Amino acid sequence: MIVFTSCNKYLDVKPQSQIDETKLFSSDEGFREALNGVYTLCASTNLYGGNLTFGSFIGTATSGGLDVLAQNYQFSDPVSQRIEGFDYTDPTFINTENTVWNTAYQAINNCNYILAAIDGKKSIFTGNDYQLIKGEALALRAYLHFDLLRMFAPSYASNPNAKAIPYVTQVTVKSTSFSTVSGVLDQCIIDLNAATRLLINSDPILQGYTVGYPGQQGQNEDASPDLFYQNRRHRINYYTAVGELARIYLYKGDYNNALINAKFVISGKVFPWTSEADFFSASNTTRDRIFYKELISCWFVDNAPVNAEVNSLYLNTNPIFSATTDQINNIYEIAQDGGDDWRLKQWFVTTAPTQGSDLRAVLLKYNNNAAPLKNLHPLVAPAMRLSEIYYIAAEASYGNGDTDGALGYYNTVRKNRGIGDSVVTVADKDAMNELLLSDARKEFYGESQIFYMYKRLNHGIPITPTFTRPPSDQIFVLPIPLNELIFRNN
Amino acid sequence: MKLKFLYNPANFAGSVKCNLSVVVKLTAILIFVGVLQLSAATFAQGITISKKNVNLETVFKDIKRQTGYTFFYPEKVNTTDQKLNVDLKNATLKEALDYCLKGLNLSYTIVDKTIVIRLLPAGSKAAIPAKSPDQLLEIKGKVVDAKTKETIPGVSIYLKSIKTAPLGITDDKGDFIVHAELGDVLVFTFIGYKPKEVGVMDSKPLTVKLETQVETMNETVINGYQTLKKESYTGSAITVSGEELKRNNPANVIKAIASFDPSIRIGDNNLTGSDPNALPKLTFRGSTALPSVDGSIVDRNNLSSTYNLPAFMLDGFPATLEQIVDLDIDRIASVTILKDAAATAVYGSRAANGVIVVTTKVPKPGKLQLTYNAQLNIQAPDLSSYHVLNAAQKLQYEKLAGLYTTNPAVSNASQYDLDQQYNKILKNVVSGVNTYWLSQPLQNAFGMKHSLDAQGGDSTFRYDINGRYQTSPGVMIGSSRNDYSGGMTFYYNPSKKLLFRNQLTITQEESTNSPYGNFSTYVAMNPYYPITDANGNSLRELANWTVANPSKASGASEYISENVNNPLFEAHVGSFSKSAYFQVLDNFAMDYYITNALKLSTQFGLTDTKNTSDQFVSPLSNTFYYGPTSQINNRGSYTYNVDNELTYDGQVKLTYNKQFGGHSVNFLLLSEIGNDTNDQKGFTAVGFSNATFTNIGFARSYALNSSPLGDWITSRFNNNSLTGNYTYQNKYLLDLTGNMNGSSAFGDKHRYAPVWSAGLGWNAHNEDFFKTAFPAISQFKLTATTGEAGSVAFPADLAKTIYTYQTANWYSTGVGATVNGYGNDNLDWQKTTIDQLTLELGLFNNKLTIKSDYYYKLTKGEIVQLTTAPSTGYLNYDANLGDVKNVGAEVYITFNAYKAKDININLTGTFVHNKNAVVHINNALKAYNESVNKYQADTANHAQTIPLLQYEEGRSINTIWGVKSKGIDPENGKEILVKRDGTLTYTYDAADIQPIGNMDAKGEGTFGSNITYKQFYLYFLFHYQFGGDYYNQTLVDRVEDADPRYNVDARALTQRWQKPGDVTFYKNIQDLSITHPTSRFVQKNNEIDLSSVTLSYDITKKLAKKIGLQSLRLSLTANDIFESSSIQIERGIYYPYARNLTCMLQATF
Repeated sequence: MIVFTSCNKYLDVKPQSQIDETKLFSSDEGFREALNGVYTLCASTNLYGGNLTFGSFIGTATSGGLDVLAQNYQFSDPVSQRIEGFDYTDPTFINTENTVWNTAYQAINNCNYILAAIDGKKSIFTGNDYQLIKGEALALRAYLHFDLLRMFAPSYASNPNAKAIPYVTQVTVKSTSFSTVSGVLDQCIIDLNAATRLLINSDPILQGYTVGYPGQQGQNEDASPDLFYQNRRHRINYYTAVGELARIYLYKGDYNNALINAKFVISGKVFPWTSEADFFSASNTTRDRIFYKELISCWFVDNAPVNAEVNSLYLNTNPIFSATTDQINNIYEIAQDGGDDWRLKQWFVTTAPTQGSDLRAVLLKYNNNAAPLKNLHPLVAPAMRLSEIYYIAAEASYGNGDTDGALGYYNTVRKNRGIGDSVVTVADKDAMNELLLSDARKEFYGESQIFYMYKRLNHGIPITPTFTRPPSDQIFVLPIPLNELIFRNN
Repeated sequence: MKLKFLYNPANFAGSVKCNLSVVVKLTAILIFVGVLQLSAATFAQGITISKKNVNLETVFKDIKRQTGYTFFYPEKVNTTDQKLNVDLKNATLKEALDYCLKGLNLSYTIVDKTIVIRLLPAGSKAAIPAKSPDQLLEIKGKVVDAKTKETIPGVSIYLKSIKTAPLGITDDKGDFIVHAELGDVLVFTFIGYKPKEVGVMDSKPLTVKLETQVETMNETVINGYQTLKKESYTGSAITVSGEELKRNNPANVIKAIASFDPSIRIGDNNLTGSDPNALPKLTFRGSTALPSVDGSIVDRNNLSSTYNLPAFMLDGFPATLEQIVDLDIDRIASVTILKDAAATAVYGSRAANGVIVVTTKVPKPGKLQLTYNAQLNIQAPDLSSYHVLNAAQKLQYEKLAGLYTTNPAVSNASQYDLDQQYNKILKNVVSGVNTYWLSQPLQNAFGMKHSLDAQGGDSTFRYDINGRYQTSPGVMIGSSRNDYSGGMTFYYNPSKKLLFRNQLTITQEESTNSPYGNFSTYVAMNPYYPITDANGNSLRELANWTVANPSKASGASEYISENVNNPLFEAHVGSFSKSAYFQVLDNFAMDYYITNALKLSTQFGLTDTKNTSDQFVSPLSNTFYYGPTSQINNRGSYTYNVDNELTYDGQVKLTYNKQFGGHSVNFLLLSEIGNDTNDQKGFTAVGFSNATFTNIGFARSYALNSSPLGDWITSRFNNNSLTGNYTYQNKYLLDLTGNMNGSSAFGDKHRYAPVWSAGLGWNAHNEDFFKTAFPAISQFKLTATTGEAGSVAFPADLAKTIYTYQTANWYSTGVGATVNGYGNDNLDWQKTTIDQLTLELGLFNNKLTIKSDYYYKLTKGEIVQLTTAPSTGYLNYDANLGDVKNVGAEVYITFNAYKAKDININLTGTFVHNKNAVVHINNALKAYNESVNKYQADTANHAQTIPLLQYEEGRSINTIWGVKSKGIDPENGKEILVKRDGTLTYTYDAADIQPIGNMDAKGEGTFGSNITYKQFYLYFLFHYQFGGDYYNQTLVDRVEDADPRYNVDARALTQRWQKPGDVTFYKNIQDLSITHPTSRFVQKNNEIDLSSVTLSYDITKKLAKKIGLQSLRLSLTANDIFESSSIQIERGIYYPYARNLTCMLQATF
């Protein structure tokens, strides 16, 4: 028996180029790496570094991005046209949505590994790392589930008791049963509340952190000598968790709680509006293309694959993702008061088409300078914008009967986008929603957020200036991947 | 007994008195035995007895009556059980007694008128006080090798009855002098030779001829850990000598092994053909592997063979398939194939698929002996299975297939364009362009091998030094596999009790792949394409077609232009792909005889292998030619990978071997640890200026956005085993093995698994009644074995949760680590239960031998990859599910058909039958079948034409699945399909898929003969199989589904439906739709092939001596020269098959 015990040790081989779970979770460093791993997955082209933001895979150029469904582009190839027309049986689309589903749950599973191990290892952490890592893992789990819900389940407005998605909190090969829409939202709220309680005492963003452009004086983004504490906005921070709560309460139609959380973010005054000088800087290297300082959270995607993807999607001579200039002028309401909109002026460039006769407007939001020129900020995929929090605050205020407050939040965004004149009256709730929707569509162009807004409001999707596709679960609910239904084991 | 007897006179006074005088007398007798025995002959009297089937007692009574001599038995002598026939006429007393006691365990002495009969117990002579040499006979003689007549120094000479101390040893001239009694039996033993017993008849000088052990190998079984007597072993094993292997196939060790035992199957690897660098896929006794249900399902060619690969042992240490493939066949002494549980249980977890034990030659002592082997291997490509169209036919076919009629589904070219295209090709055809592309990348390959072996030494130190140089070019130009190896072995016996052995082998292997690429490219080339332009310059591009874009991705255009590149141009741009390994292998062993019966052995083996691979893609290659111009300075790439593999293995063995009376026991206690570490590194560099400077140092940069590759994998095992073998009177046999096996591949909860085996056997031919009842049956051995074996042939991290660092893609806040997959720590051993019944029958002094095995093999807890709902975070995981059984019979027959002075004819035949069935599959695996249909339906997978693997309980793993077909409708050239409900349809529906055939052959085997005539030796072996089904993919891929823009099988032109009324096998020639798997293409696979023929000639000893040699053999072996099959398939898709001829010369100095 002694022989076997000692041999047991001999047979316990630890891999070197990889790491055993037990070994990884035996140090603070290991937990940090596991958490970074979740962000790596989220920032991959399968999720926010691609499909869930820009809407494409590398190389294979298969679209499925939600901005396609929001009719922000114009396509000449039959596959994209089918997807644009809400044909969810197209194999290319099915492929993409399978990838999204699989990778999102893979990321959730990675969170669950951390959460399953972390409480037993409290003693190994230094500083506030236990709270910070656990808080972020919980918030990430909620964030990912909420996005899956927004894609694969009917909206709360449509049917709060509909079968939604599994809310997975355990590491197991047994499949978790499906929750209802409101069930998923409740679980998200539980996780986010737990996350905010942990983050409030541990997140450096609450400890005199100054948002700014990396490398510049007086900011804290890359100031910490510890890489793990840098770039708080590249990870889920305290404000993201709060903002996510605002999002979710609004999704539920709970204006009170939505407003409380939105106000909480706004009153923190951590995220300054972008100055005109930065946005319009003549120099390529000092131009802010994305309102970087306004991002409450974003995914760091400044890597070769995403750079290559962004180039192929928006910047080639004949980019796959482009709209006609007419389409863009319509979105930005050039006929009304949108002509001065900074976003229209800086985000689009008009090119002569290689196919068809319409001039095309190409998005420059994700433009990056050719080496060795540096950008003012790294390439990121926005996860949550300050402007969205203002939209939430506006919608929630209006829902609570505070019209002036609502218009105040709305006009603040307009003002910071260079549209001088404020809107002072609004007829009714629908009109308020139209105001918010039209601005959000401008703000979120190329970010895949506007689809969720249409869905949440159960609002039709405008196909052309004269035709709107009426709202229905048929267009708003992406089909659950077949494998999820076939291979359930309980 | 005697002592007690003498100290109790009071009780037995009478009897003591009576016996005492006799005792005294007999004591005296015993002292003078030697003297008096000789004089016994003088008491001669005429004795006449003629009786049948009487016992000894009766005969003794007759003798007593006729001579007046009385008999006395001082010990318990049984005189009633022995029956004998006596026919004596006027014999002397000595003759009569000798006659009667012959063969019995009795001796006699005559004292006065009393004949004392005593038992002749083993070792009785040891009890006799040592005699001075002058009382014994002095026997002189010499010991020589029976074959070479060389004297052998160092031979030990023992008395048969006393084996502990030798009487003497031969000197350096092979001479000996010993002292022994008349009637003693001398045993001459020497390592590498069969022990020889010689009775002492007189003092005349003896010449003792020892025969080499190799020739008696069939009587022993080497299981890798110990050598056992075959007669007393219940396990099932096939042993083949190196010599036999070489005669069968000197160029391919694995093929040679497989042809001796058809239960080992070399997978029909149609893809790699005769590629010298492709490793064979082996399966043993039917398939047990269930597929992995992952993204890369389900084509039969994707199935990994490792799950069914037998374990290899080389000189007591685990070896890889590659090591065996590259082994110098001249070094092999024997190969043993262990098949059933009793034979393999000692290997525990590695034994589920049988074990192949290879031993290399042991140096023989004596004068320095040099052996030189030369081989010339000629390979010629076998193109007989390709039937391609010539230029004119091809153009005719294209026209018929509608290639020159506008069709928007295929191309957007106008009729004018198409006519122009047609005429351009017609111009080529008319001007005589008719390139035979198939022969372009091929050559007749000439390989050679030279090996030299020197051995010698004396009984304390023996050595062997060997070296080899071998080149094995393949039939595709540029492909080759070259081996250089050298080795040194020594055996050192400092004393009778101690043996040291060390074996060092160094191997350098270099393999190069053909720059000509896939052979299929050449098969597909149109014959009307010229290779060069009018000036004789090689053309890069041969044709350009506008075709519908197969890519359905967004943003892709509807039509694309497709180039047809000249593969010969690509072959000459300077790209290369080669790999090499350098291996140092050292095995050290020590045997210590604690007592005569108990032996302690330790072994340690170390193998260090450095594998490198170099792949250079020339900057001139098409890969870059069509690439973006912005990347011109990154053209050309060089990928370098290195893998350092370190394997060590240590064993301690305790063996106990004892015979007493009729009992014989044999124990083996074994403990072994093994480790295998792979350390891999690699990177890719890009940017080469031209194809002349291919050194990696000329690269401009590392590959863009790539990071170096590195991996480190270690697997370990620990094997503990106790084996017992018990034999009673060589009649009743029992084998028991218990094994505790540990492996690092298993989860914490199942690190060790016990396996066991038991075997019972009966040597009926050793029973007396059997001998009298069936005198013609010389061997009748019946064994039954049962037991378990495990299998661990899968990646080390399935049972563990492993994180991988995303080192190539750091997040802005540090490097991330992500989970690889579900670590199933419940993962258990895949266990196989094997029950086997074996009958070995020998008739007419083993002139005819028949060995038949019947086995039942049940593999439980097959490790299957299960698909999970992706919301778990995993797409799949591995679990023990699925049971598969293989039931089969194997028959091996050898027949010595004719034997005379100069001629000897042996016939051999084998037959195996295996029935495979899935016994149990998990629900998840059932769901797999569903997913397969879906997979097939998805055009993106390009799997519509291939029958995919599906599983159903009760059916063979090798079932072919598809839709039943009634053939082609002569009316319209469409295929008539049968729906599940029996109705007929033209429409293919995956829901109608059902079993349409079974690939398992009803029977398979070999038959052949070896004939010796004087100095000539002829050997041939046929392989046959029948009764299995085969899905003829060639007919689908090359006739029906063939892209008419490329060259096709001739049947596409001649045998397809063209007009109503044509009764054809193939559908409408214009129908370019996909042919789905249907029963139309399921054909019976009956085939016979001549796998090898050998003719050899040994020059006579006399002639050899004259030219200063000991022996010289010339031989010629041809492999794969003839094949006849009921199906016609294109064999060798990426690499053609070759016929093989080997000329050999073996000279011993």
